[in-house]
This record gives sequence, C-alpha cells and structure tokens, in this order.
Amino acid sequence: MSLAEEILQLEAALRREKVCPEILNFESELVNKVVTAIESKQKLINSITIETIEQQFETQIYQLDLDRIKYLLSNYLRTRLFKIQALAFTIVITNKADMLSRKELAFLEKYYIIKTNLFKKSFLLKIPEEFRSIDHEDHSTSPDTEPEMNKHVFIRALDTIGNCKLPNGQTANINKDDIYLLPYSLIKPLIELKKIDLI
Amino acid sequence: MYTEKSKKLVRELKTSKWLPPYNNILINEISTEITELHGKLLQSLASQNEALTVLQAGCLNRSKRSVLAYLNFRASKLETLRVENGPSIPPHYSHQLSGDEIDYFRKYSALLQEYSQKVSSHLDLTTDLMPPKDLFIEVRVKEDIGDIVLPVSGQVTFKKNTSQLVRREEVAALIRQGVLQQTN
Amino acid sequence: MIKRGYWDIDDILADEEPIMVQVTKTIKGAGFLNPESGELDLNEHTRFTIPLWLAENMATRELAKIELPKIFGESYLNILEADPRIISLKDRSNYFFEVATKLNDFLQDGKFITPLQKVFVARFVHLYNEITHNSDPKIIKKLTELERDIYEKGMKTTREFFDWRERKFDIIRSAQHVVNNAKRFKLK
Repeated sequence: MSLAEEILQLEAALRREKVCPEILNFESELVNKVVTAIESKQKLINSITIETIEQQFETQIYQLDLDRIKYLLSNYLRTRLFKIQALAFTIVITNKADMLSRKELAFLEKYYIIKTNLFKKSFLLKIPEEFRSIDHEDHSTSPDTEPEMNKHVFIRALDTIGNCKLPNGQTANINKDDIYLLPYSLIKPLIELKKIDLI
Repeated sequence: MYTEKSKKLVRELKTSKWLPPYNNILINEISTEITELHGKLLQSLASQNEALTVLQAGCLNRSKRSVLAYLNFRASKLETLRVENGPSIPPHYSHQLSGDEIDYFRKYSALLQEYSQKVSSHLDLTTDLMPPKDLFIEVRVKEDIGDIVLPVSGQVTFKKNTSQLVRREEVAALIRQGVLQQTN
Repeated sequence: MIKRGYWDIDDILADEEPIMVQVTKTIKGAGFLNPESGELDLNEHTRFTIPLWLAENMATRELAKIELPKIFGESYLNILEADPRIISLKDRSNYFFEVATKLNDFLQDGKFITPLQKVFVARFVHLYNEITHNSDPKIIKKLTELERDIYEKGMKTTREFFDWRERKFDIIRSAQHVVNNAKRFKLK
C-alpha cells in the first residue's frame, strides 16, 4: 500500500499550516487515509514472525518508515492544536469552528473551559461581575478577534496574476512561479481563488 | 495611579528564565484596587462625569488585561512544559506555581492525551518532536530510575552511568527530561 | 487604535512607555492620574508623564495632546543616523521600535518614521553579521527587546544549521529547562 501521494499532500498541508496566521481547513479525508494506513501497517509489522536476520532488518526498516509517517502526522496535528490553543478565544468569539475537525472541536471546548476556569478562580471571581467577561464584543478592551492578519508570508504564484497593488504604494507584476513575501491579509483572497500557494 | 501594581506584575515575568513564583498577594491587591475603582466608576457615571468615567474604565480594563495576560503567559509555559517534558512537573518548577495552575497542568495533560488517543491509539502526539532517523539509539543513563516497562520493549532496567541500545520512540520523552542522554 | 495582541506581554510592556502629555480639558476627579500634584482634579494645561496606553486613550478623546518624545526628535535622530550600530537603544527604550510604530500609527506624522526605518535596517544588518560571525555576546546590552529576540533566534538557527550540516541534528535534545538547570549551556 503506497502512501507516497498522501505523504506529499500531508507535507504540503503541514507547511501551509505552519506559515499561515489563521487556522486552515482540516484535511479530514487526508488524515483519515493516513491514520487508517498507519494502523494497518502497524498491525502488519506486529504480525510478522521474525525468523531470519534479513526479516529482522526488513521489519526494522518498515517500522522506521512508519515512525516517520507517524511523525509527519503528529506534527500536522500538533501544529494545528497549538494554533487552536493560541487562537482559542478568537475562534470562539468569531465562530470559526468550521475549520476544525470534530475531535479538535471537542478539544477546543474543553480547553476553553479549563482555561477560563483558571482565570476565574485565580482572578476574575475576585472582581466585580460586570467586568468578568473575556469574550467581549468591544474590540478595544478584549482579545483580538483576528489573528495577525498582517503577518508576512512567502507565496508562490500558481498562475499569472498580473498587477497587484502593494501596501507601500508600489505595484508588483506577478507571474506564474514568482515568489513574493507579502502581508497575509493582502493575499488571502488569492489563496481562496487557488491562484497562489503558501511556502 | 491605579495601574502601577498590574504593571509590576507583568514585569515580573521577565525576571525569570521560566516563571517567577506565582504572586497571589499582588493579584489579590490588584483585585481589591479594581473593585474599589469600580465603585468610583459607578459614582462618576451617576454624576455624569463622562471624561472621568472613561478614564477610570480605561485603568480598570488595563489592569484586568495585565493580570489576564500574566495568567495566560504562565498557562502557556505549562502547556509547553507538558509537551516537552511529559505528564509530570519537575519539583523545582512546581514551587513556582499556584494550586490552580498545578490543577490546570493536570487537566491539560489529560486533555492532550485524550485527543491523541481519539485520533489513533498508535499515535502519541508528544513522542517525536523531531524527524526520526533511527529506530534504535544508544543512550547513557543519567539518573537511576531502575526498572521501567516500555510499550513495545517490555521491561527495561536503567542503571545510572550505563549505556544501552533502546527503541527511540519509547524513550524520546525520557531523553528530553534529562533522565537519559543520546550518545550516537 | 491598533490592537497588536491582547495577550502579548511585550505589547503590554511597550504600552507602558512614559509619554509627556498636555491636558487640554479639565477633568474633575481625575487628579489620581497625576499623584504628584496632590490635586483632586486634572487641570487643563497640566504637563505630565503618563503611560503610552493612557496617552493614546486621552488623545483620542481630545482630553490631552501627546508630545513626541525626545528620542524621536530631530536632534536625537541625527545622532542615530550618524552611526546606528553603536548606540545603545536599550538605554533609550527597551521597546524603541514598537513605541515608534505605535506613535506613528497614532499621530500620523510620519516624519520620524522614515529615518527610523533606515536605522532599524542598519542595525539589523549589523546584527546579522554579528550572528553569523559569532561575535561578542556583550552586544546584547545595547539591544532592545525586539533586537535581542532576533539575536537569540538567529544564534539558535545558526547553531541548528551547523548541527544539521554535521548531521548532529538527529540527536534528541534535553528540554530547555533541563539545560537551564544543569548550567551547562555553552555557545560553541
């Protein structure tokens, strides 16, 4: 069972997730495929009765290969989890939860509860009720409702885009395969149109 | 000027490599200040002193933000500790924490494990934090921890100052904790 | 007012920068903001120092006027531009560039920001050279918080790069706290 294609896709998904300030859509189909493959490969390796040195060597290679796939998946899930933690209040306030898997959502809900409980017991319950909320709609006194949208990211153009106006007033003529470093908020619509990729 | 104490609280975070001791006393003092200021704010509101109300609210929200950021920063450090170091808090660190924070660590630890298990029982999100290169690695035992039962290798004895060949996945956490040291 | 990060400790500390303001409207009962005066009220024309967050707050509501700090004024900028690398910016403000950016966003004046951008770049290039040629760690004393962060990350990345080149990268390292406690952390 070859996972080559899925591994490439997973690597790309991981890379994108690492550079993007927002949380991206959970690649559920991809993850499911990889998890299923990992589980069946592990079962296969466990079932091999080792009778020769060659077999032992072979099994170890399979196991290491599997370990590396597990690492890749772990990294993807971990990266997302840490982002979810960092953006927890933002995601809850702005209702961006549709980017998360069901399991991540369950994690977020419990995480949100344990964190707010910590804040409440340590501090918020000691101050007047009117000022206890953290999820205030008022932007000037509560957590950001947007992650760092102006964070600069590297992009590669998948298609010729033509002239693009930059924040400092200049224009850039973006052609296919060009690489640029630009603010995320500027290029976000282009990602959605699948005209560029994050690198 | 009502925000001196909360400024001091946030500044404390910079004085330590990991975390300074939890300053419960200062947080309680700030809470009292906020409550006091809140009372004054209601008075300004009643007397329609708009400018004063706005300034008092500003100070109040500023203090609140400082304390929350303080607590949040500490919570983040605990989360990182859990991922890098495993489910136990090193003793010299637990002295720096409040009871609520230790409780938070435990709850977070359980939450992390629960998520990991749900995705796949074959997956441990906190094992390899770097791409694995070898299946087996050589380690030197830095602390005498005696017999340990590992998931695949079974029972293994770790005696101080000995070297052994072990399965990387099972001991990655122990290496990060400083119990073992990789030698190859 | 641009919010840069509710939870960000450095953002909060940068906001504490003392700024000179002049009150433009008497505010009854606000004397607590200027405890040294001992007055109950905050009187128009009072000149005093308050943290940046409060200064912006008051200026937005036209209760006070912000005076541009000396460190962003012409004479100091001239000194900086003469040789940006040797000046200890940390002495002026640990959050020099952040404060400059916030004031620029707020005052929309623009005159001081362009020379400062040049200063930042010059110092950054100097920092980069220091990092890649592994020089004297005493430089840290002159750096602002942001520059120090860049320096430390740069050193770490350089070290990791050399490790990777020599194939030492696969060695699992002890968590940072173990290293901190063993006191065996040395820059190679």
